[in-house]
Amino acid sequence: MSTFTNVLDITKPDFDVEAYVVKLLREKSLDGLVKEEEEMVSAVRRLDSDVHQIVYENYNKFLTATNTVRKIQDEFTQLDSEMKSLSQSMTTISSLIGNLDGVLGEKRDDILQLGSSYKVVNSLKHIFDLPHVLQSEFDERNYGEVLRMFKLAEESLEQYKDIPTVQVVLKKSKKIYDTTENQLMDQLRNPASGAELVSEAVDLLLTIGRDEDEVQRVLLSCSEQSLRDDLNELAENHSDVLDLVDKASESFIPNLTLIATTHDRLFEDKREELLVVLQKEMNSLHALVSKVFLSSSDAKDCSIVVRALDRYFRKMSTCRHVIPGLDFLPLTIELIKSVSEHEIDLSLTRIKEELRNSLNEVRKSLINEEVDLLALANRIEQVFVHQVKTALANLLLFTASDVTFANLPPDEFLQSFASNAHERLLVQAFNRFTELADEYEAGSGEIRFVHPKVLLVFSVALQHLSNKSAVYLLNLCREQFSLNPEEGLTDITTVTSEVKTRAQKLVRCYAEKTGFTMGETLVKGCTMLVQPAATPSAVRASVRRLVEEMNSCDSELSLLLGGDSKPKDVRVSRRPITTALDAARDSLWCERIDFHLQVHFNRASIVTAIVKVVLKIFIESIRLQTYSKFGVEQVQVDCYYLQRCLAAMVSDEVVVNSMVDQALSSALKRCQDPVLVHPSRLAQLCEQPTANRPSSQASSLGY
Amino acid sequence: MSECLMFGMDCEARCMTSMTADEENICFLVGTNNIKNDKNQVNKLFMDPEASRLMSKSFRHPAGEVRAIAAHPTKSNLIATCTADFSSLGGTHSITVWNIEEDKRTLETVSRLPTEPVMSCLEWEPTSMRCATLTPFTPECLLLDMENEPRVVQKLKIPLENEEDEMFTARWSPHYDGNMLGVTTGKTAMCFDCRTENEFLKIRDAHLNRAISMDFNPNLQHVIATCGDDGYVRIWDTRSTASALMSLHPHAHWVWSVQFHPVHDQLLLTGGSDASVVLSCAQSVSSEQQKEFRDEEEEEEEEDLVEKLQDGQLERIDEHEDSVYACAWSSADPWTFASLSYDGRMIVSNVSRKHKYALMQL
Repeated sequence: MSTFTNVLDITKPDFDVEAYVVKLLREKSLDGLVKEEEEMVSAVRRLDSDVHQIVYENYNKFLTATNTVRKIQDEFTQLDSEMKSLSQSMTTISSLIGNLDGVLGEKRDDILQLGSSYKVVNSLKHIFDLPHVLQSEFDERNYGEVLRMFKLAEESLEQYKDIPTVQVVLKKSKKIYDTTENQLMDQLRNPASGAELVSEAVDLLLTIGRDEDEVQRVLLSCSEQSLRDDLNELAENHSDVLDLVDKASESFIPNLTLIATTHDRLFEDKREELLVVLQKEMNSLHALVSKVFLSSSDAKDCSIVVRALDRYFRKMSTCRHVIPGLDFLPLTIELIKSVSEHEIDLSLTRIKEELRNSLNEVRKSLINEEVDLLALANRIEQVFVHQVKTALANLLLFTASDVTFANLPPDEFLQSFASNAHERLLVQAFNRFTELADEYEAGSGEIRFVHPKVLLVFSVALQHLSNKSAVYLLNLCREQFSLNPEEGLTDITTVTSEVKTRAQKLVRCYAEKTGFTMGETLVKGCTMLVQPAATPSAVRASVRRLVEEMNSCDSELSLLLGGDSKPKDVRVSRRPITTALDAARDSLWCERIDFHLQVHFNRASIVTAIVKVVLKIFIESIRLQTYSKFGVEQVQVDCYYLQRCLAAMVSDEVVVNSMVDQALSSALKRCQDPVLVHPSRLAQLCEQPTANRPSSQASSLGY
Repeated sequence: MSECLMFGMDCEARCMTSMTADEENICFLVGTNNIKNDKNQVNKLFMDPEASRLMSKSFRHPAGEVRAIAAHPTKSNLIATCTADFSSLGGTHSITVWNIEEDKRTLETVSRLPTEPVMSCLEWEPTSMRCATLTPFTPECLLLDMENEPRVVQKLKIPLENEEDEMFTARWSPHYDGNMLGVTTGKTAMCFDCRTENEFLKIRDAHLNRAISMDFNPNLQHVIATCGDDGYVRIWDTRSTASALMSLHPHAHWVWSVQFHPVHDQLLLTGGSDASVVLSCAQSVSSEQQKEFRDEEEEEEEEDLVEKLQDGQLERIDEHEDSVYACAWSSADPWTFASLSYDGRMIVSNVSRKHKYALMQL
């Protein structure tokens, strides 16, 4: 097929005109043939013009190519002639070189000399550059290098110093050298420059032969100044004592040791002078620290104080090793001692203050009627015990095992401290307590207005303390501080007896004061009805009230102190006085009433003391009156009633009997014509309830 | 206890004074207090020549009870008493000046001033020769000119703190030329300048219920002592009266009398109704103490050599059996003092040698 088509394709080389024409004739119509022919003619024409165009174009190209080939040919001929001249030149050169070699062989030594001359010139240039080099080294603070180079240069230039230029160089260098030296001295003087710089400066200064004494003096005075600055800084900037010690161990003490080591290394033979300076500065530090330690004013800060002390102590003991000869340990131990004593004093003040506060609280709470006196007494005692224990615990901090100075030999610190804890703190605490009791007993200021029950509560607290807690506290202290009783400690019994005495005094005070108050109301009530117009019909109301008050006081006391709550009802029947003669005779037998008997801590004893005071006031008021017949009768009735009611309450009824008799006999003595009521009526009158009698007010003096 | 001499009268007595005019002999005057008229007397008590016994001369007091007694400052034969006679209805009262007739053993009336109420206190001032007297329930103090006969020259109104306050004692200050009068009423102690009648000082609530008596420090103008029914003696600085200079507690019952020693003002004599007499020391607030303050710089070493007296009670005399209402220092012997109890017992005692030497700093 392909051959067939190839044959038919006009563009292919296998085209067969015959076949094509046949095919056309066979296939096409006439019109088609005509059309084919027309097409074919236009195609031939088109082809023809195309061929023409191509021929013209290629002709031009051909022409240019011929020109180029002609030029190449020309150039090749030129090149050839040049190559010929080159080869000629080369032969000339090689012959010339051969000649030169022979010439140069004779001049070699001269060349060498030229080289060395060049070097000399170079080094000369260096010498002239020396000042610049030095300056740049100086600028870079390589003072050592400056000095070394100058020394080197100076040595070598010494021999050429006649030459003016060298002289100039030397002068310039010397100037730099001098500035360097001054700079070094400045560095030495400047306290701000670190120890390394200082020691470097000193080294350098010494190597260049500065006067050793001078350098050392400067060093010392500068160190002194820097230490002083540290101190001033410390003195001004510290929040508390711990802070101060911390800051001191960060700035002053390291500085000190550094100075010491530097100095030691450099001037070992001048230790004495160093020590003098250091000693002085340490003294100031110590003074500052001591001042701050001793100015702390709150016992609560004790733990901080101890920590600070411990730190300080450690620093000081290391200082002693680092700087031999500078031993502040004894002084520090002294400081520890005085600080501990200071703390003790603080605790004491605090204890007293707390006691005062709790007493004031007692005073306040006693304004209310219903209070538990025993609870109040216990509270005072508890406050004391608690405060003392706290103070002891604070002091124990000083002896804690992690505290360095607690591990000193006992005779250096612990021994005296422990005995201080006992004597200065504990015994003194008891003293403060008793002083406070004395204050309440004396009552010179506003304390004289306190309610008597405050005194009672206080005395009961003291009594309890002396009975139990005091011994406990003293033993606790001895145990805590491992004290030996044979070491001259205050005796336990001395302390307790002191406390007991105060308890006694206060309870007596209470009894008296209560008695005075009760007696006063009794007497006030009695003076209203001193001069009755008729024979008495009953016991006076104020007398009855007194008995009621005594009863309530009695029950209050038995509640507080325990013991039999209600007085025994045993009564010895007693013959009442019936005549004035009896009275006179009885008063002869009256025994002296001792107001200074010891008051014991039981209901009966205290009540007796109160009753004594009250009845005595009754007697005193009677003696100031002048009575009518009925007035004496009234006193007799009252006396009978008082005797009956009070005798049962007291420990020794003889006292009541004798005082009641005295009252009656006093009344008899103050009456012109006394007549007494018959005893049988007395009992009857006393049974009667208080009647409202017509009050016959008389002049209070009774006439 | 130093030895003491005792004398018993058979009559109750409340008032006693030292015989100020007699500077040679230890002599005290006691007035008795008995409602029965015929029994009353004035007793003159003195030492026998060997000073071993207390002797007594008694003079009948015809005007009834002796409520107060005062001796003439310079004439040893003159005394004044406040009298109370209950024989008639309502009683008759007076202030009477007596001449002691030693030989006849009687009192002769020199002059007499009848008073409406009974006067309870009589204090004779030596420079102005005036007497101060008062009565418990009238708030005034009478000043009497005693030159010829008792004559009321001034009535000093006393402003009471409380209406019911009773008047207790009047005392002349030894300073201010006899123009300063101290008065205790109720719980208050006061001082008045008689010339202006101005209140110079007022100590409120000096004692619990009554400020019974007071005394002036003879050496320190601004120091007074008060005693009261709370058993305390309080020493006050008149310049600041909020709090007492010192508070002593010598007695267990009312303190009726407090007396500074006329020379050694650290010694205080007190008597109380607990039937005891107490000699107390108030060294730290005395004139001696102030002297020490002044000399402290120069005499520091010397001070340790002399043992000083401690503040507080020095001696207590328990020989009385009843309330002690009066006590006094002798004007003849600085170391002798007397005390009187209601039962008529008079006790004359001496400051013990130990304390005497300590005071004189021997």
